[in-house]
Amino acid sequence: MYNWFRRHPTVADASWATLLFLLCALAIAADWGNNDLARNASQTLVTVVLSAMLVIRRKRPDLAVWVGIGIGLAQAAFGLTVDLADVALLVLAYTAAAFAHIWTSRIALLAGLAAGPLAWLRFYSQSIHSESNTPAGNHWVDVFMCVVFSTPFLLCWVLGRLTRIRRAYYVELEDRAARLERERDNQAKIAVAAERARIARELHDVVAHNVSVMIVQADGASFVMDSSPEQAKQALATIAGTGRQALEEMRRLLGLLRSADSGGEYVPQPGVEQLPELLEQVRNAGLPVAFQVEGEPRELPRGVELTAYRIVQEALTNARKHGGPRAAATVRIRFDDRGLDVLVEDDGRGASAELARDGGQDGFGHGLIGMRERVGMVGGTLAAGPRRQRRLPDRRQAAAQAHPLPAAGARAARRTRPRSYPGP
Amino acid sequence: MPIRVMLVDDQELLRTGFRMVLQSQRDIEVVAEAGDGLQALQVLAATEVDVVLMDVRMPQMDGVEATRRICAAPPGPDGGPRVLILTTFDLDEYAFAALKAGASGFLLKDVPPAELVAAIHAVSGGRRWWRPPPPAACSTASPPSCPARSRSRTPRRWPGSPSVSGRCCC
Repeated sequence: MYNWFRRHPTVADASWATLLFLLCALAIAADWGNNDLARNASQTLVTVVLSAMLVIRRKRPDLAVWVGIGIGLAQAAFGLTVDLADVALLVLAYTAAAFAHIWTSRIALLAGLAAGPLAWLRFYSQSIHSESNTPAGNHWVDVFMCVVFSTPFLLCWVLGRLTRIRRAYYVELEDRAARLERERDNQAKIAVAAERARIARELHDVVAHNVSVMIVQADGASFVMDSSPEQAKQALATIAGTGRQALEEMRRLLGLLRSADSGGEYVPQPGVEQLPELLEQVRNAGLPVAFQVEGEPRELPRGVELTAYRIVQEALTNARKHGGPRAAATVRIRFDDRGLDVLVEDDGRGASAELARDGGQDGFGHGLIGMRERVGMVGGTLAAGPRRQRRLPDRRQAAAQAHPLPAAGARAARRTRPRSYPGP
Repeated sequence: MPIRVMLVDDQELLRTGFRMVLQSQRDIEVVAEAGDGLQALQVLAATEVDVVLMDVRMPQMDGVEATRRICAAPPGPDGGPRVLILTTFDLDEYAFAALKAGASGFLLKDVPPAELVAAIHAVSGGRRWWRPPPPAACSTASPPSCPARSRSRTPRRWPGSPSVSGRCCC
């Protein structure tokens, strides 16, 4: 209910305005017989207009405030005594300070300060003086009463002023948060672009180097074909070898590009939140995985989240490939002050030591190397290898740990130890 | 008397390839090879060379630095050795750096053999051979800092201007 009113402030204002109007109407009706028609009509008019201003005070604060000031002056001019409807003027003083244009707000402050003396001197001063027989020369009473009459306006205005300041502060906070978010997105995009540019450059270097060797060797071969067939033959072998090497390197690099692209352009890249889904897939594929989260989960920079996700994905793929039929894996994620630790271990058979050292044999040959690059990109470190001998020595384990930091200089560590030590 | 050429490149396969092309030319003789800039300077101290074919990216000392040192040394009786940069990468900063270092020519490694031979002839004769043309900034830049060699070449024209074959500038 409260929240609904907060979302629809005009409705709330209209409710208060209606309440005020009904109370004023009651007062006017009760007093109807004692006054002349003109007085009743003008009182009704003031009540209606002020109530209406209360309704529109948020949508058109300047208009409402100026009309309020006009009504107040008219009351003083035509001798309409202050009544309940004038409570609306206090609300309008608040409105002026909180929502209206800055000049409207200043003039409203002056008007509010002037309203006390105006009302006192116009309506009450003489009657009080004549009733209580105080000497008309005693101005201290007048001064005191003027201050008393103006104080509510001042208080309302100050309250409105505070509202304005607080609102400006919130606007700035929101703006800053939005800016930071945009900046973070941009940084992620820049990182991706930089990585692609790097790979493209590498690709060009590889192709250019190898192809120029092939061209030069082919030119040379054609020149020495007749004079030295043996040399020409050697050159042809070199050309074939260089071509193969170039193709292999290109495949590796394109593999890197493709794996970086596989998320699809319009699907958000996965993060830590998507890990349970990933684990479910792995379980369905036949590898039992336990999942633990330690620390207070919180949102981390996108690059870090994506890196963590990819590390787990890669490590579990390794565990499935090299762990053997009865392997089981554990994924543990720990959020701490500095960032994120990711530990993936399995108790499977493991791959050979040579394979792990050379970065795995996954067709592209970049399993661990690629992970290390990824982790490096978010400023972390990675370690991979067999777990310390604290379990049965004939079991082999793979462990991965990442430690990316959310701060600018994120630091990530990953420990993959896909393999093992010889049995006893 | 044949033109004495030196090959400087860290890739041996490229050196053998260029050697095969050049050794079949009657008036060109490959007299020395080096695997990096430092080695090239050492070899040059002991060997008379007319034209140095210089790679840019090399370990120890890169081709631009080696070119700068070669051009800074007092020239031989016929103005040599002159440096012809041969690089894989068609990058403006390479061409500009080579120009500033005092190179007489700039070619990509995939140059056709006939043009390579023509370029060696042009450079050994004291002319320039720049392909692709130097970056726009160079054509108005100050002439290369090889004073002994620039004296004999006036007026200087850059490739791109309609000179002989549109490439060679003398």
